[in-house]
Amino acid sequence: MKARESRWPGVALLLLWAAACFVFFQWFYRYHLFFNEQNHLFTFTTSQLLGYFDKPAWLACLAGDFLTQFFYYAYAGPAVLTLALMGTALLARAAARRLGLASSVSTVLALVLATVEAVTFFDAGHELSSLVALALGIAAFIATSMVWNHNHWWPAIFYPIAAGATYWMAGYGVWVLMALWVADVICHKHKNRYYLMAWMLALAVTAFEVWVAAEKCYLRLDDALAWPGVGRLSKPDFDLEADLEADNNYYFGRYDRIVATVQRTEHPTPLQTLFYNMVMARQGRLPDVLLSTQPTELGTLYTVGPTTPKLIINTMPELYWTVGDMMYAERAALLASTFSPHNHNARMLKRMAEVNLVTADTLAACKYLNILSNTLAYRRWAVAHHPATMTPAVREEIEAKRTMVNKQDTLRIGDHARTILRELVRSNPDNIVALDYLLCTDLQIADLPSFKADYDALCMANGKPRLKPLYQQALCICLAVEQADLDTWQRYIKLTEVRHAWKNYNDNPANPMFAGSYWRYYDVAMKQSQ
Amino acid sequence: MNRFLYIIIATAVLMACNDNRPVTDADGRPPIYPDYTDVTLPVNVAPLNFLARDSAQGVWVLVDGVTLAKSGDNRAVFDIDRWRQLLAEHSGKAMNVEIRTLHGQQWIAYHTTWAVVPDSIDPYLTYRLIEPDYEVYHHLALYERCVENFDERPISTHQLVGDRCMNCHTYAGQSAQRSMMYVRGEGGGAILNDAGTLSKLDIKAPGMVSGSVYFGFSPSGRYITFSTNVIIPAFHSRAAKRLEVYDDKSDVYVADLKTRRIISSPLLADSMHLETFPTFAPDGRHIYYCVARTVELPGQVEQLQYSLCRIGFDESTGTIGGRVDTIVGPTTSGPSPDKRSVSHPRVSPDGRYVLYTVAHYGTFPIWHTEADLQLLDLTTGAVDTLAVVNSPKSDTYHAWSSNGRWFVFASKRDDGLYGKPYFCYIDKDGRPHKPFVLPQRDPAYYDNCLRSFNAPELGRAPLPFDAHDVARAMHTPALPFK
Repeated sequence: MKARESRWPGVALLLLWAAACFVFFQWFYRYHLFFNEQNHLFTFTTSQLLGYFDKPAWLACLAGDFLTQFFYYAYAGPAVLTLALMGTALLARAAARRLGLASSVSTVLALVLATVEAVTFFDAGHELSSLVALALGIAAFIATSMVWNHNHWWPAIFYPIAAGATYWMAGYGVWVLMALWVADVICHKHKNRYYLMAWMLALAVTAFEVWVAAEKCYLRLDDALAWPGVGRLSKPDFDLEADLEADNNYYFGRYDRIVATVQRTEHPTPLQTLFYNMVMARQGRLPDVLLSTQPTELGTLYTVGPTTPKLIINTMPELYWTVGDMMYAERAALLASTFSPHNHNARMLKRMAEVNLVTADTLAACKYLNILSNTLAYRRWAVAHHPATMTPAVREEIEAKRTMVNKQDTLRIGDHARTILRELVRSNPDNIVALDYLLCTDLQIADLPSFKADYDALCMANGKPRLKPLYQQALCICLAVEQADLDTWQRYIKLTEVRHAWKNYNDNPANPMFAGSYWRYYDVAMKQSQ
Repeated sequence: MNRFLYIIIATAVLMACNDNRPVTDADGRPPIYPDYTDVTLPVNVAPLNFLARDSAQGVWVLVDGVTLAKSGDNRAVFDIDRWRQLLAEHSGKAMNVEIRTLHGQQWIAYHTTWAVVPDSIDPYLTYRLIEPDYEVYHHLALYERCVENFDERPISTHQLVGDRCMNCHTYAGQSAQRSMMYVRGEGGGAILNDAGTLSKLDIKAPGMVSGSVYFGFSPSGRYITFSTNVIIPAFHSRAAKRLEVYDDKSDVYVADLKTRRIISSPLLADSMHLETFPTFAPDGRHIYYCVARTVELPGQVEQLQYSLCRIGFDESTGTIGGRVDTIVGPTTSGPSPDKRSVSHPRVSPDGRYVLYTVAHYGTFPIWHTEADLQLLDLTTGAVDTLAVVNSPKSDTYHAWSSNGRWFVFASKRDDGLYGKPYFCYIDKDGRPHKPFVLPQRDPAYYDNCLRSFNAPELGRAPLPFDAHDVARAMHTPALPFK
């Protein structure tokens, strides 16, 4: 009866901790896990399996990568992480009990360890293999402590073997094992001389193994010592989580959520704005909302290069895909994949497959689709996109995208946004997404001569004026600067409310009703440039 | 114990032979990947493990009616000892290979041949594994692979030299005792291997447009001829053409590695011309290189046509000759009027052939789907377009085996994106044979590989250094040239 009473608070504490952990990673931090998964690619292939044996900690890495694929799924990802942390905590508790610590102390220590490990997952790049390595190290201690016999010498042989196997399978987990052996001596006041001998032998074996790993696996010594990597403590990054949420919503086509988030946020982040702009552009509403959000770098497009932040590179394939530039969509996806921690990225493989389907490069598309068909999360997607089994919906999407692509062949040095967008619209005047991006880019950087030239060439010249209040307002300024005649005004300014407002603005520019107008935006931009 | 083993093997063979499921002969090539049908093999190559592509539930490979491998999935993986024995037995002969694929309860049998030639290929292959953007990199490494088995090791790796760019490991006459490679970036340089002793060189002199880029050793190994290039990456707006890389400026020089002196000639550093891809003839008496008249770039990139030229060189005095001969160019006759831009010339070890790449224009055939290899017979002037070798995708970056019977090249024939090393046999009559891709232990390796095999080179022996030695060499001061 007494034992039962003392056990329940510990169990309750563990369950409470698990619930809190799950809630946090499901409802407050789940997009970090999704991002983590996207940077991996776990395929059920012999080559990937064999690859784990090229370096130490094969079991930790294999198990970590296997489990990471579940981070793709809502609920399953946080559940897997919580279970992994709880599993580690239970092992740590069992190890503490073997050291002779009281049940309550063991439970608290285990939860402290699990909390520290959970905190390391605040870093989006932290790998689950690190946690598995720790768990394996603790498990190895429990296993070895079960066979230790104070009256015999033979466990002394077993210890070095256990240390060697632990480093081979769990990398740095071996240091956890050896530290727990030391703790065992201290806690139990062992005076067995075999114990010291066993520990020294284990240390020697491990040191040799680390040296072999560094030499044969071509690792730096510090990397070999800590393989597969130890997490670092960091604060939760909720700004990044907000960015990753927008990214995730865009990925899954939950555009309404992006719109709602940006519209209720006073200062959306540049990435949230980027996704919001993409959603609006797809709906033909970019000029309606452009001035409601903060401008992003280079107008509406970023420059992609080796020094571009990883998250920006990751979003560029989406942007180029949205406007219809397959060349840069593929290249940005390739860069994002290349700069992923293990040089591959599941999401980017999907994008590269799609790009090659659009450009009818079937061989290249199938390369990526075949790889994705060996994964758990993307198998169905790969089948739906494979040319032999393509679904009508996918076919329709690919066909639609084909109408947007660049049909010209020019050579560009660097990703000049205006050149890209102009060529896209010239190739297909109905590519409203690219047209709006081009015109809005001009307006965001207050480059009215370029705006007028683009509008004339891509709208007026082909008899398709784009009658949006934003463009009409900008045209008013252009025409005023040109001192255009009445006929010209009538040809360009079709929205009578804009013409009236322009007159009122000139009479009273400070009127608050013009706060959201392009005229005010332009005036402010001009003052700032002076 | 041995008896027990024999019983197991005999039982397995008996079971294989006793497979009483019906066998139906099929016409056409076996649906296997890699395409190892009707290929010519060197006697020392690793097993040609392959996959059956036709949703097979089993694969059964028989050579001259004897089972070589049998599996319960679509993978044919051969025992390396049996494979070696088989090649040795069939050296100079053709093997009749029957490939059976299992569908339900029926075997479909395809027939092909593997011709085994006694001419060995140099057993070591070096290459860089890189994502096919080529302009950017992350976690790069150069590798050495033994083509007689599946052993691979890095000879320079990002883990030990920082995340730097590294490229172009090249042997002197396929000798592992002398070779060179680059590790770029701050504190980088050319890493020269002299019988296992590594030194870092700063091969640059005042007036040069850049450090050394493309290079080749003289036969003695004392000299290298190299190009200096201002390389501009650019992008085609049409996705299918992807990347273009061209030289804004380039010249060719010779470096004396013994005296650390750079030798120049106005004929190889003409501001009106772009000179690049230099390589020595095996007798050391000529430098072959590519040259183009400068044009407005990038606008006129399609007019950037490189000719194959050569100029004399005297190894005894270290002097460059005074006359340039055009070997292949816009004014010379040739079978491919639409492919006039020559790149990457490599002279065969016997000095008889020049193997080079042709493309519509420019110096970056990797992304030119039309890029093909051609073989020029220097004794007759005849050009072989190597129809049996080339593919509809890029075929380029080639290197000879030391006996001149084999060459390796990078081909994107499978998917148009990822280059893989293919080996091609040239028989004593100069006739090319169908090439085959470097075999891998895992036959699905190439399906899952997301890197290109870049700049493959063949060597006669393992390199006497490893990635740790390169890392150590990187910490030494670079030896300057004057």
